[in-house]
Amino acid sequence: MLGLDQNGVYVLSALGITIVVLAGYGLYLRSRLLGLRRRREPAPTEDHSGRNVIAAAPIATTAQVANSAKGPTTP
Amino acid sequence: MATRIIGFGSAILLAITAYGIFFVARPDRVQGDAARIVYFHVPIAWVAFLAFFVVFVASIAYLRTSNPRWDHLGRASAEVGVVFTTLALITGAIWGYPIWGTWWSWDPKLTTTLILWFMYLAYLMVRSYAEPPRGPRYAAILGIVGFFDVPIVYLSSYWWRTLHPQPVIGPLAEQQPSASIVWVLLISLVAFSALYVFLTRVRVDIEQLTPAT
Repeated sequence: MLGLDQNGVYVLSALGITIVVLAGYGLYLRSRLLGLRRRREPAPTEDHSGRNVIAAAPIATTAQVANSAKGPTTP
Repeated sequence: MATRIIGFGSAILLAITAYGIFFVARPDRVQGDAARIVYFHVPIAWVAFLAFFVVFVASIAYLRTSNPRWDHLGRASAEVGVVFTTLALITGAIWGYPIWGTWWSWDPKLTTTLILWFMYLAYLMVRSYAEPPRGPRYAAILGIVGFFDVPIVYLSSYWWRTLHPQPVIGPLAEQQPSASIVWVLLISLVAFSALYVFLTRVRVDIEQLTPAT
């Protein structure tokens, strides 16, 4: 399509390396910038006190395992 | 917002440059299609020089004012400049192989460019490892000293016997190229300069958001 001569492979290699390096550097900067911005945002408050029991995460117990459809497991 | 516009603009200009390289520029009579590498090798090298000039100015300003904003600009520009110098060395080596028959030669232009690359790599290392306030000060001194290599790189093909071609454009060019060559080179120059501004602005933002150690 491009109709390049025997040196075309060098042109495409040079251009390919340029694109990969610049795109890689751009993505690296983007990920650093987003990471720093995320760290700057205030963290959501997690209230797990007795007055806010709904917010507390459910805790898995051995009793739940024993009451499962398969029944209790033995070692 | 301005950074995004510059980034978007540089992407469009780079796409136009790619079109110009493959569909507007003609192959060289002697070099064939290898000459197409020049359309991005030269602008990349130009942007590296521009980046180090910004480091030079920012370093002087930082030593005079001790304002950390100048240090941030200098560090950002040095990092982007090192990336572009790396690409100038790589694309130059890829152009050199089919034309000179070797990837590397200890030619004055290539050697002084390699020295430039090492100098700003040293700048980044000093800036990373030396604690403030000494780190930014030492790096600023290196940023000023390192810039004196830029005119040496540019003029090396006049001062010494060299394999590297003379400048193809500008006041030191021996013969002015055709209009299509000039246009593709100029668009490429603007595209890579816009990309430099975009990357440096993002890098400065990172520098300003990074908590001081």
